[in-house]
Amino acid sequence: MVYSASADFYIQNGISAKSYLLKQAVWVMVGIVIMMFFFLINKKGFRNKGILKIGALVMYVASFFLIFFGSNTNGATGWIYIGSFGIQPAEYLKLFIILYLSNILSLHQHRIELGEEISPKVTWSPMVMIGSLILLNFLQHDLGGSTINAAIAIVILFAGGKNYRKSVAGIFAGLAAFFILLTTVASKIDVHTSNYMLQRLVGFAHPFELSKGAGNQLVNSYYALGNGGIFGVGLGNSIQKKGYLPEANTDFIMSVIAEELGLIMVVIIISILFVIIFRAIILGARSSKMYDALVCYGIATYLVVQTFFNVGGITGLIPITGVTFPFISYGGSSMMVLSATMGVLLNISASQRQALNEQKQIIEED
Amino acid sequence: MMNRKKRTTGTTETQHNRKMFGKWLLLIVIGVFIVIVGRFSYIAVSGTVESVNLSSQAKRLYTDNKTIKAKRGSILDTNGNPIAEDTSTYSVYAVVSKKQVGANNKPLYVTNKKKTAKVLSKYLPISYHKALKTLSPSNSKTFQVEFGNAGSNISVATKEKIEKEKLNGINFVSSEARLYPNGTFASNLIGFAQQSQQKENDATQLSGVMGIEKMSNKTLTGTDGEQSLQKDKFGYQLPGSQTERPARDGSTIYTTIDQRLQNIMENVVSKVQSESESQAISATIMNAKTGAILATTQRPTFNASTKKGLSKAWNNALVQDTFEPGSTMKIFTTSAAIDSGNFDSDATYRSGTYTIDGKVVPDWKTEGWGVISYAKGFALSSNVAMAHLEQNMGAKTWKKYINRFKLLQSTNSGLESESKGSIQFDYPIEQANTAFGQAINVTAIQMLQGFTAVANNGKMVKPQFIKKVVDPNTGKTTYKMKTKDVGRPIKASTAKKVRKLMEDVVYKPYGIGSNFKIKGYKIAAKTGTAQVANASGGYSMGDDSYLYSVAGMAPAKNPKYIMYITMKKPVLKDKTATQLLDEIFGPVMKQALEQDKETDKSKLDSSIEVPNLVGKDASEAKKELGKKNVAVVTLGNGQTVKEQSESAGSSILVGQRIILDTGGTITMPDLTGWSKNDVIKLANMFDIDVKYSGNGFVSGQSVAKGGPIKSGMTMTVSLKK
Repeated sequence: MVYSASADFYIQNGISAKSYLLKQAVWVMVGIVIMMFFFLINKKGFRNKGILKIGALVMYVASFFLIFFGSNTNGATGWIYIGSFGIQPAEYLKLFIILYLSNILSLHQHRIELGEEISPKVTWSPMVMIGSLILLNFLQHDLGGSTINAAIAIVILFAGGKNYRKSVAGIFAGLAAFFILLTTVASKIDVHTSNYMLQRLVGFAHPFELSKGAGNQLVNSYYALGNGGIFGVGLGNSIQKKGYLPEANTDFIMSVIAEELGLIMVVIIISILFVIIFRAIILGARSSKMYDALVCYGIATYLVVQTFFNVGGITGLIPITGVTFPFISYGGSSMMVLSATMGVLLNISASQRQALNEQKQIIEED
Repeated sequence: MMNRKKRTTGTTETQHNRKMFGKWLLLIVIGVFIVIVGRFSYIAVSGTVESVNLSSQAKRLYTDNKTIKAKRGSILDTNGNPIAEDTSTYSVYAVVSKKQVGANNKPLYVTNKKKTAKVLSKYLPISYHKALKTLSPSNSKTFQVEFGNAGSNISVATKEKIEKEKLNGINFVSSEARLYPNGTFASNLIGFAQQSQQKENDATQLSGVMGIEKMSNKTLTGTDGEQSLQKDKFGYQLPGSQTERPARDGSTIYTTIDQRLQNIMENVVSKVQSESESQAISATIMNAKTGAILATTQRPTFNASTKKGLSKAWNNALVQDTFEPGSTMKIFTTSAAIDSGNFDSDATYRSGTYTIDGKVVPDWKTEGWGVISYAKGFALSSNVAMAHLEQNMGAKTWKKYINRFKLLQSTNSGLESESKGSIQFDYPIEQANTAFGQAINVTAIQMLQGFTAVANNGKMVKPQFIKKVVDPNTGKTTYKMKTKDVGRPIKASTAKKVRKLMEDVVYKPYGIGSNFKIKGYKIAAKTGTAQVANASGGYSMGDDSYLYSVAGMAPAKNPKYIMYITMKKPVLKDKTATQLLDEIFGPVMKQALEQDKETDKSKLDSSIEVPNLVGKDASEAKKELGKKNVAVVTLGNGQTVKEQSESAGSSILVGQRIILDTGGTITMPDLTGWSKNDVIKLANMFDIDVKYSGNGFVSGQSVAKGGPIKSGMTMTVSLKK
């Protein structure tokens, strides 16, 4: 799909059409290796304090580096280039937050359980750290990424508490506030704003009036969906990808899929993703280990929010935030992180099964 | 083992929380997915967002509607020589930015500047060094360069030749232009067309603003075609998306104008104009039998190709200007008197002055010629004679004849704002004045129409100037001129008598029109001298405030041609007004009569259908055409004909030239004696930019015989009568 979406654009630019296909294939291979790695290693490895500390340090360095030297892609400064090889630290930050927060919370599980006072030093230092990393992410003009990271952090914190009612109520309240704010604020912003983020909001609120400017991406995405209808125009036949839709192979890949393969394929892809997320949550809910549960929820949140931001953006439910679609969009960093999360999930799943088997054994032995 | 057991058994509070939270999280996730899929389905199935129809909007985004310009129809003379034609000119530009590349890195910019400069300097009036300099702009960010005057107004042929060199980065833009190859040539009748903005689509189109160009604008304007294709963002066409509606070119109008007569007329009128400094001159020659106007012009006029003189020449003198005709009116007065039985040619009257109600009717020679016959009175252009005739037949009868001659009525020529004229006819003195062409305002075309009754033995025909209209898309003639009988104001016998009296004007020793004699032919004519009313309604004083005119018919026995000339307020120095009028009348009428003689001689093959000669042996072709009395000019040193100046199936007149190109080295032929039309053929064939000076036939050429012919070269040709 990445091939189909990007082929034309790169032909126009005189770059080999297969270049993206090859690159993405390489990423998928690398991803599989990474997934196997995360699957096979001992979970304790990524709970190791030292490794997490190094991770935190790398995240800070990368964030600061990006703010001062980041290369600009579509208004966001999210890329570090090593040669021609680009890395998006924000993607890795998602994984880091999941692993780090889950670890911290599960370490203090018994205290939460007993309702003990936890010393401010213990609570504040991880909070400040995660908060500051998300803030730094936001400062790179990565609204989508920082929101996903915040969502992951909030879900893990809520899941780690004892009162789910408050947590769920909090999430609903947050969602409601988010939508009310979005719809009221977006329609009131001056159409001629030059601020990058505000432009995305006005483009969301008045796509057709601004179809030549801020609303261009959304309108072209609409056209793609409209062209595709239920069955699509056929693989490789997208018109919108021929220059009308920007980032056809990354942010707007679902629009191109909708155009070429129709609503049916979109529903199938979203369903597969849903199954993965569903499995992740069930895995987390069944787990008796807090760490495992929180990691699963974190990963599920990561996937669902990212999916929502991407598909919501291209279908005009929320402003376009430049978030890719998990697994389908082109991108090395994203593919590697996603592979890692899948590896972690498999790892947890396997250990759960092992634990169950051991339990059975114990019962049988008894 | 115990340790593990302890951890896995028993539901703690946090675990319960996690489980419940997980359920809710799942619920939220399901909600999110339902919303996403719902929204996706809504858009994909309904095809609308915010009640905007996506597919029609998208189509608009992809579709590139290209107008295929229809050609404006040509206006030709009666023999098919061009008077006004459409032409595309091109401007060249060169892309120099190296960023301009196409698919597979194909460069779309100038890659070989030296070669490009060489080619451009070969075909365009620009030097190699200048072209090279233009191609190498100092600003490295320059995207494209143009070549000023040298790079614009390029003909199709030159453009194609440059394109054949396959230069990277050289592109053309076209523009439509109207070409009037003859310059000043019946300009006010033909009019002109110019680019104007269309209301509906902002596009520019040639639109007639005067004369036939305006009158027949609809006929001349074709219907633009449309090419609709879908394109991607970069303008590349999407496969299988092209639909096309071909353009329908505008119709070709053949006028009744005869190029040879018109050329002569323009020449002599210009000459007389410069000699006499007349305020205005109009001259028209017409086929008396059919009413076809063969040549017509006026001064002031304008040059249709340069628009020089246009600001003072917006009026068409033939149909718009009204004037008191003066003594040429006497043709109608005498006709009316004869026809109503009130004319006795031998009856006499006292010439000089005549008093009606205390107002004096003077002859131009107020002492008169004593008691003379009415016939002599006509020949001497006596006003007194006419006043008597008018009174004899009575005002009512006279007015009846004015109406029967359709004076003071539009001839419905179709030309813009044709005037009707006016008359003062309340008092006997006014009525008498109209009998010699004062107190009545008419148009030249009304006079011409009236004269046809005298020339055609009573049958009056409408003057016309459009011979036929041909649809170039089908080749079918959609309109063909028919002689339009508009009445019989007088009997045949009357007409014959009037013509006899008009002959007397020319041939009787006392007649005042002896200047108009043409050797070998009998001419019937009547001159006129009218006082020109000034702005305040009174008459101007002084020698030069007259409108001099002549109406002539030839041959007098059975007139084929009628010519009518008016000359307003000439400054008379060493020539009389009659002499000046004859300087126009004589050459034009003579040419018309001589032409007739020529065509009589070769009646059968006056026009010849051109055979296909391409591919034939050159000498054979020459022989074949020689038999048909067509002058053949063979150029080049090849054996077989590669190209012929007249396409097969078209017809040409005897005496015209056909140019055959046999390829190889083409050298300039001797053009002496060639008509301008033949030179134009040559110029078109070899893409020579010819500048003409003078009118008539070639008397000199700037590129000598034997000189090389190069495409795009310029040459000056001087023409002489």
